[in-house]
Formats: sequence, C-alpha cells, structure tokens
Amino acid sequence: MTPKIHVVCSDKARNGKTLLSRIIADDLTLVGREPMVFDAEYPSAGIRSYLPERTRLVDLAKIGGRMAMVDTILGTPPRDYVIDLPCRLLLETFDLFDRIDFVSETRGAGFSVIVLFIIDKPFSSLRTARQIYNGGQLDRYVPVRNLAVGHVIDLSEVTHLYGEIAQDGEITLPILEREIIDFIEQRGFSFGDFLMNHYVPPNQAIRLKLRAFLNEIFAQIRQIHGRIEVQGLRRMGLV
Amino acid sequence: MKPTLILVGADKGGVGKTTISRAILDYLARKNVMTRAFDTENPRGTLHRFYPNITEIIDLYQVGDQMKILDTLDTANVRLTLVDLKAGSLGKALDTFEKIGVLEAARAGAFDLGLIHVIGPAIASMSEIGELAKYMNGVNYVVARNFINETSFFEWDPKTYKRYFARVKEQDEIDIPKLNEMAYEQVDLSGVTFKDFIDSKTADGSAGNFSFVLRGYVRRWCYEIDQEFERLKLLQNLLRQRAPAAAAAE
Repeated sequence: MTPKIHVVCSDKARNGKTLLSRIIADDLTLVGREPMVFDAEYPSAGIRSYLPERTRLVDLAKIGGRMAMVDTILGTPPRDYVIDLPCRLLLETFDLFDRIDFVSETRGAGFSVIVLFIIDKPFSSLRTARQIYNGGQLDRYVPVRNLAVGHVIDLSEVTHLYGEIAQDGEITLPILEREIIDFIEQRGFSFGDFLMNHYVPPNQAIRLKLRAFLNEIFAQIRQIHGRIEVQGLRRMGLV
Repeated sequence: MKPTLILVGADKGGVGKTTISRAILDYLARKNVMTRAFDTENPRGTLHRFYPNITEIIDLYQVGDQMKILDTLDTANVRLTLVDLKAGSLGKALDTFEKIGVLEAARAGAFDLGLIHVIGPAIASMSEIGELAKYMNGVNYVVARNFINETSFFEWDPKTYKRYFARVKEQDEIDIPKLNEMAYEQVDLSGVTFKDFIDSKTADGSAGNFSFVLRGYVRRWCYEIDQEFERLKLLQNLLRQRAPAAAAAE
C-alpha cells in the first residue's frame, strides 16, 4: 500500500477537521498502518489531546515547525501521516507546499498526498476550496461535507462548482447526536479503542449509532484509498 | 567565441554582492557554462569559500593580479570570468580598468563586459550611479535591486529613480528575490553552492543532511532568480554561444 499523507483542512473553524483527522488516524491504526499525526493547532493542541502517543504538535507559522513536519515526512522511512491543519494556517501552508514543491517531492518519495477540505456553509468556503484545488500539484483532492454544520453545495447554482472539485471522490460526515458528541469528546477517547470495546458507552444506543457513524466514514475513506491504489497499479500497467 | 567579463560591485558591504556572484556562477553551472571567478575581498575571500575550485583571491590593484584576470581572458578556456569587487571599490575599479585600457578593449569588441551594480534600499546606495555613468559606454550595465534580506525600497520612487539614472544611457534591471533568512544562513554555514545545497551535498561531494524545507526555499529562490537572469542580454548571449552538447545536456 502506498503511504499516504492526509491533509485535513478548511477555511473555517469548528466544522469537524479534528474529528475527521481522528477518524482517519484511528482507521489507519486499526488496519495496522501506524500513522503519525501532526497537530498544527499550536500551542493549544487539538488532536493531540485524543491521540497523544502518535501526535506531534508543530507550529507551522514558524520555519522550525515547518521543518519539524516536512523533514520528518521526507527524512524518515515512509509511513502514513495525518495533518490536522487549523483554518488560520490554510493558505500559508499551501503556499509553503507550493514554494518547496512538497507534492512532487513526496510523490518522488513514494507518497500520495490527499487533501480533505471541509466545505462550510458560506459560499466563500466553496470558493476557497476551489482555490486550493486550482492551486494544482495535488495528488488527490477530496471535498468533505459535514452535515452537522451544513454546506453551500445544495444550491443548484453552485453544484457544478462542487462537481468539478469532487472528481476524486467525496466524504460526507453524518450528523451525530449531542450525547454521542459528548462521549467522543472525552479527553483521550479513541475510536479504535471504542471499536475494540475498551470504552463503554453510557448506553447501547450510543454504541450502535457510533458504530454506524464510523462504519459509514471508514467505508468512504477506504474507497478513496482503494481508488488511489488502483490508479497506482494502472500507472504501473498492472491492471 | 568572445569571452565575457562580469564585474559585480556595490557601494557598500552587506547588500548581497557576493550572493549575486554566487547566484550567477550557480546559474551558469546549471547551464553547463564553464566559469572562473576572482574574489577581491583580500585576504578573506567570501566567494572563494563557496567556489574554491574556480575562484582566486586577488588584489585588483596589483599589476600581477590584474594580469591574471585580463591577460588570460582568451586563453583561460572558460566562457565567463567574474570579478567580485570589494565593497566600496566599484568606482576605483572602473577607474583602474579605464586607465589600463580594459574598457577601451571592451568597447572595441575584444570581449563582452558587464557590470552588475548591486544596490540596497537606501537612497545613499544610488548616489554612486551618476558617478559611474562616465564609464558605461560599451559596458552592459545591470542594476540589481536586492530584496534578499527582506529589505523594502522605501525611498524608491519613480521620480527619484529616473533622476539618478538620467546620466546612464541604457541599463538592464533585475530584482533579487527574497530568500528565507534561515535558509540563507544554512547555505552560508554549510559553505556549499546553492545547487549543492538543493541537492543536499556537502562541500566534499558527500551526502548532506540539509532540511528539505530549507532546500525547498532555496530551490524556489533559484528558480525565481533564474527568471531574472533570463532577462539579461549579457547572460543570454553567453548561453547562445554555448557548445551544442552543453545546451543539449541542459
């Protein structure tokens, strides 16, 4: 399997970036891929509160933090990565990727870079998503819709704009009930541990609903990963 | 093929003169053009530190050293000779070259002569331009505005600019783009060429361990400065005269 770098991002805050990053990291962990996570929410930390043992906090606003992340990715044996990028650093980080030719260098090192952009309610969010998409040099671009926060793309005037950026697939995050959100937001909670029955939910309904939620997202992530593998095999002429 | 002599000078130190010399040598190396350089920062020789194999430290006002540069232009088996002039010595160097007939020989077409004048952000940096005008006949004069140290040309307005250049008949202009400070320092500390830094090679040719991020910044900077060099007649003439094999290799 190709090692993958997942860049989870959005132009808006509090729309599920860290949740999606956690789910991807836990899914990879469950299948034995041992991902490493970069938490760019410096200094307060976001995802590190949930996955402290595999998360490194980096300050991507400073060159030291950029070096800590990029040099780790390119200077150590390939593995899967998840980058949880705060919205305030979105454009700055993609500008960095452009300046240092990040995608072609990582591609040369055998990685696939997947950008997962959570599209928020305002039209400006879709516009920013397209701006990142059109910035080019991306391996895979996956728009994400979080049904809990809403999104702009149901408006008929903009569906074609969304369609153009969803060619590599899309991810939809279903709505979770408040009780389940409270359960999964406990410090140190891991979806992997939950699925391995190391966490006991307050009731059976939460267990079932959360499992259904995770299964739905895991299926979408794995479909995208599967497509990447098939496309890689096609490029090698093996299928 | 006609040789080319390029002088790189500035009115004061720390404006990026040696950086530009290094960038030119790097650019031409990547284009497979043979070069040599003379470093007049005697006896320290900053340029020599980065290009020890092709750079000699000289005292430009010693006749023997003048002969090293000028009497070997045709026979040195390189296309370009670059002289990195000590800070503040530009006027004196041109005056010396005028006296010993170098400028006259260039005007007569014996070789191509270029002057890259690196200027900083302050107006004081431009006061020398008018004084240099008398030497410029037959010389490819290039003004290099240096942004490398994140300077902003706060005193640089078009009117003032035109006033200073009124006495110079023709000049090319390039902007030296900004390079991340830490990236610049790391190249400097490692004492390697920009190309070797990008390729993560140490001065002795072994594999280096330079940061990918910093290498990325330098690679981008080289790309941007290449774009500037590609607008210079002086350098493009050199490239046009390359052997076909060198052009093909590029």
